[in-house]
Amino acid sequence: MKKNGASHALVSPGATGWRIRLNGGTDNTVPTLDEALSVIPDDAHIELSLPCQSVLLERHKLPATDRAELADMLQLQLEKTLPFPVEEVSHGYELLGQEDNESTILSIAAHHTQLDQICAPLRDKGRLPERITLEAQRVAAACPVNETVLALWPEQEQLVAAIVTGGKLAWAQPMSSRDAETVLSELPGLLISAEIEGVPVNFAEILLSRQCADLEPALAGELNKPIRPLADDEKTEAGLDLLPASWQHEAHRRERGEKLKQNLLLAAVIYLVLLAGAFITLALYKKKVQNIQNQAATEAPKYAVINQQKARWDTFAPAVENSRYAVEVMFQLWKDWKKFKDDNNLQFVGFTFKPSEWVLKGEGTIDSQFQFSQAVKKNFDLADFYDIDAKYTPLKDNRVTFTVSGKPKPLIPPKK
Amino acid sequence: MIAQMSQREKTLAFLVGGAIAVLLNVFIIKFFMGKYNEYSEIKIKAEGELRGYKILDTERERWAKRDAWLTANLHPMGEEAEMDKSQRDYLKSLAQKNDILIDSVSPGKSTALTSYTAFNTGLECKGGWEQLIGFLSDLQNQKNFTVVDPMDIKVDVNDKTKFKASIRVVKWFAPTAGVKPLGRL
Repeated sequence: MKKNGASHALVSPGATGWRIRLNGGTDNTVPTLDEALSVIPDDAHIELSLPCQSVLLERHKLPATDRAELADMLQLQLEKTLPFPVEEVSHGYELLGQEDNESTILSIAAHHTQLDQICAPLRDKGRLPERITLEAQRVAAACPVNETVLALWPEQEQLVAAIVTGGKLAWAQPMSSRDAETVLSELPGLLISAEIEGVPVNFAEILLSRQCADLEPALAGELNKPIRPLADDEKTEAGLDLLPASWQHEAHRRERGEKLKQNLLLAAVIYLVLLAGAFITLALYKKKVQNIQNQAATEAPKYAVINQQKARWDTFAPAVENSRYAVEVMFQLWKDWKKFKDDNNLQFVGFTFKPSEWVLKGEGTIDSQFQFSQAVKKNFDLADFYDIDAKYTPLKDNRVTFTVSGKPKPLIPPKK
Repeated sequence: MIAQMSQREKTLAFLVGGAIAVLLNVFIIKFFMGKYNEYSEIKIKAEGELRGYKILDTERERWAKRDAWLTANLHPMGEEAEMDKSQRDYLKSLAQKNDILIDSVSPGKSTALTSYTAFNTGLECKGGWEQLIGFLSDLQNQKNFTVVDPMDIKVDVNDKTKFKASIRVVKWFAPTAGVKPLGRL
């Protein structure tokens, strides 16, 4: 019963305390369920097998053969017979036989309070069992399927006697003690009670657990039946699950929570990996930039002289570069102005020149100033050497005063 | 702890946690992008410098020639009084040649700077636009080392076809020893 590769832990009542079997392997015995958790791996799915004394077993003959009908009838029956509300129990049944329209069943009921009490150590630590079964059913499943046997095995300081018919649990009863005297005194009476209930007590043999082999001589003398050891290779699966529905919901909720936790953890890991990747990329980028910076810093001294020569030429540019001459600027502006010589709307106001900036001031209509400004900006003999800017201030009657100014761009050496 | 919370508390915790996560991410992304942009700017600047060096490498000869040309053609000023006289005469002759009427020429004055010595002469004159262009064209040519700084031209109020110009003509000469650093002329 492995799920998602996780291990399976069967917790069943031992002769004393609890027996833990991991993945059908070797047994560990612990005195309490508290201590059982130290043996069970964190990811193991727990199946709890209940001792006989924790459940109520009742034999019923019901007038139906359909399983659904049987379940409904059993529900009604339990409501009558159980000493507590049926909603407070987990129950199921074992179908023992059917004749015509009649079925014989063994009902198995576990009170939730009892289950709470048994499982408290597990639940307190968030380890809900995923299945709750009955150990007696497990033992029955290990018995021969073609005969009726009396099985005897110890459960937590008690001895359980069970009649198994065709590999199915037909009746079971715990005895108060495991010593031969008590067993011999209680067993005949219990068998008579069973017979009265309709349980077939004409068993062919006695299957006795090796853990109470000391009872063999006494039983052989009393019952005159062959005695064989009870098989140890118990099947890991028992048919009935007594896990309360609310526990199942709780288990599903925990499972969902666990899955969410795992997904969040995975998302967090991916996020952190991405974050780390981003910062590693940033660090590598920084390193690359530093290398380029260092390279530039290393190269810089080689060009110190040429930079000085360039700076000297830049200083003298207003005196030696034609494009920086005042006359060149005036000439280019004059060329542009001549295009508007017939436009009476455009009037010259003034022109100021400094090596660092020149400004032409004028007055005109908004259209004429726009056209003139565009003409200046498109004059590449000016625009190639100056950053040209045009502004205007509105006056009355659609007229404006305007300025067209230029600031020298860095020198581009001629190709020749 | 989460298991013990009510649905309402879980929703509230989810909202608060989500808001904190979003804020944290905004902070991280902002920090990351800020740093990335900062490094990118440094990289662009450094790469620009390297590209500039490569260009300078190809122009090494040109700048050397230009520097040599400046050194060869930038002459010392000589005596200031003589310079003043010759400059005034020169300006008058250029004005006459280009049909420019000089109103006044102020006495010249020299200023010594690290890169050059500047000799400034103030000039008030009047003429047509084309005549002014002709005058300045003769004044400013490469080996003259002459700049106008500043020049202010306005329409003559008495004759709207003419322009009045106020020009400070600055002629540059080779620097003299022990001069003040380069600044305004």
